[in-house]
Amino acid sequence: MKNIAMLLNRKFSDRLNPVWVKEIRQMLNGRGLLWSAAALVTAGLFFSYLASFAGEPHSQADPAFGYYLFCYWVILLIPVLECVSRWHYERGQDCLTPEYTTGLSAFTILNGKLLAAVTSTLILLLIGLPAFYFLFYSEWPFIDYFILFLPNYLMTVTLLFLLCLLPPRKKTSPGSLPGLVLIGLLFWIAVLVLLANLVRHSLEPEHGPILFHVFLLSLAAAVQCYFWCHARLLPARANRMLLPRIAGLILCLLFIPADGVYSFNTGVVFSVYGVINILTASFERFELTERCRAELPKKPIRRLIVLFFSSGAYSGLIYGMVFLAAGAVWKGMETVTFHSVCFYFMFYALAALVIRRWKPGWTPWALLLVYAFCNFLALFNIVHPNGWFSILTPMNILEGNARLIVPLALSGAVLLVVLIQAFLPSALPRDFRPK
Amino acid sequence: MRISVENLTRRFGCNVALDQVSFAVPSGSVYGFVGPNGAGKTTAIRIMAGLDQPDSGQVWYDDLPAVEYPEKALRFIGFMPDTLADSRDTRVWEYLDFFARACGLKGAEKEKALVRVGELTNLENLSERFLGELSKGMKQQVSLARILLHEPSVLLLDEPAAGLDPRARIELRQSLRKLAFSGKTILISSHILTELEDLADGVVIIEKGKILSCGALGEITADRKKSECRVLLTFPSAAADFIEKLKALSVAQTVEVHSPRQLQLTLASEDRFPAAMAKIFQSGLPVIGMSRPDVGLEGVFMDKTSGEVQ
Repeated sequence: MKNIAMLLNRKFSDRLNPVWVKEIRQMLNGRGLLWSAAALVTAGLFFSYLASFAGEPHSQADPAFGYYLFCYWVILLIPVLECVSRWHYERGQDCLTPEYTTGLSAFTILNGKLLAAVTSTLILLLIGLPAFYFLFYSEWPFIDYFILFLPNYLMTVTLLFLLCLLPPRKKTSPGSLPGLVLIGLLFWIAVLVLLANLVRHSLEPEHGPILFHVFLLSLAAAVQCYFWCHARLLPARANRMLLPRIAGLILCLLFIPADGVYSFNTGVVFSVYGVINILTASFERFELTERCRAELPKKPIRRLIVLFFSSGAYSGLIYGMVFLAAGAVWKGMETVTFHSVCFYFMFYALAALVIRRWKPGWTPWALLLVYAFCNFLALFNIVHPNGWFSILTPMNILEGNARLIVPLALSGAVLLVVLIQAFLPSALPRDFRPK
Repeated sequence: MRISVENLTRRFGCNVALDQVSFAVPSGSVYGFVGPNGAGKTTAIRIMAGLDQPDSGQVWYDDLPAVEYPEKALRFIGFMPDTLADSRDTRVWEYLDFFARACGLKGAEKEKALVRVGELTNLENLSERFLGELSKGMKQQVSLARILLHEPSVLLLDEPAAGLDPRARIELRQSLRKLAFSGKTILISSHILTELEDLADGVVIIEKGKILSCGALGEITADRKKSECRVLLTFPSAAADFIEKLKALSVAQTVEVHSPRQLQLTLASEDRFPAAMAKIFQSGLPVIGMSRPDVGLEGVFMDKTSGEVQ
């Protein structure tokens, strides 16, 4: 028996993802998981007990209050309890994330972390099963919240695992890739928590369209986040955006058949994706790195295709504009106000590019502030059209198609400046030789 | 494998941590990387290990540009940071096992590598201990063990002896001495110059982000011989009593009291040292000891650096 165990260990153990093995060992050596399970079961029993009073005639207890309290408890507190010590250690100023000092590929690191999050959820489920079993047969009202807990826990732990991968820095701008990953993941969590809540009511037929929309969008967000995280783990001079952009294109193409199903608007998805890419592009570096240039194919057509998906402000701008244009041409007339806002976004992003080229020292923080301010004004104008803010976004004095034409004209003018400013990157392949 | 650093520049806001830093370490040699605190040593080593990006410049390992391809460079680099692993949830063998797996070692090859580094760094008895329970010296040995698992051809060691007690320092020096004979290219950043002098073939001196001197130890110390030299003479009784007698010999430019029993002589040049010493000993002065405070790496370091930080 011992020999078989040793043989299995030799055959399979070394094939496992090293990051996953490390995380599981740490998890089992630590006490976080056990504490989480204890907290989960205790909270479940406590809130179920409270809810049982809500049904009594003179009780003023509101079951919804208990539900939300429980949600916050299980969504936020337990996973944080589980991860806080590791978070504290791995994000400390003196810590060097061990994965970065090895030759592990970005996919191995990312998959290891995701697998570890899934495994920790499964372990927690196994620990909590006796309690679930008891609650199920007792027909206590909070059993469905326990089922909701697992995906929420998985998402939160995944987020914390991934955030541990970000190197500790004193200044991490929200416009940089880690910042975007963070924002993206937070959005993802929000969507999935919403999804989990909708699942509770999924038997009601009127929720079908919402569920369909949420499912498609959260799937797209999850895939994009996965590739953004992968990009974040690649070396700074690698062609980081290549895979996220190819994945984005494939996803958008897969969404085309879904157009019109339950009023799903694929054109709007195209436009939103385009705007996100334009915004991202305004923070990217202007010149291609030596490594990107060296890896470009030599044949002109292939080089153009790779350049379209490459990292870099101009590539990102063109990529985003193609999607925005596709969305606008397809559904622009049906959603004039929405696309008008999209073009204002593009206008401000282009303006930011002009400013950054002119003043390279200006940090993305300042540009983000500009975005936030201007787009707040744009949205304010839609809601409250008599404001004096119309100087910046003169949407309220425009009617019909003019709402699209004005931001388009503004964007076109700034785009011309961007093109003039751009010393188009010389996309010639280079050889590396020591000088 | 030859290391070549070319015009590295790294800014943190307005502060220039590295300013056009260039130096080379020949293949198979051991070089010391010395400089005052805040000189830019750790920044340079982190860039060389692919953990940070320079604003400009390149690091070459033979023909490989490490700034562009850090993931390829990491396959043959062993980087020991100045911070140590101290996870409370990881045992020593688990930590080393992770790095062995990460380096692609499998089965018997992995076991063999773990035994080899364990023996080299005397970790056999610590394998079941948690990292958080180890002393600083033990952690240094664990760090050294893990960077040797994949038998890298280049070792980058950032302050390996910092904060160690005398025993741990001696043990670490013994491990490093073994490595120095193994033909690896080693760059050691350290403040302990006397120990570096024993190990190193050459030295890179950096201050305020600029390279002050770089080359083989013999060449750098030979350059110094052309300048003035200081000699400390120790006497059995109060040194001040012998100042006039020494001045009368006219062997030194200046003679000053250095400590109650020591006099410091400043000679015009290194060439005058043998004749001056012969004259002093022949004069019958009761000299019981003689030392040269500025000979060797310490002397070069004191000469070249001003002690200012950025």
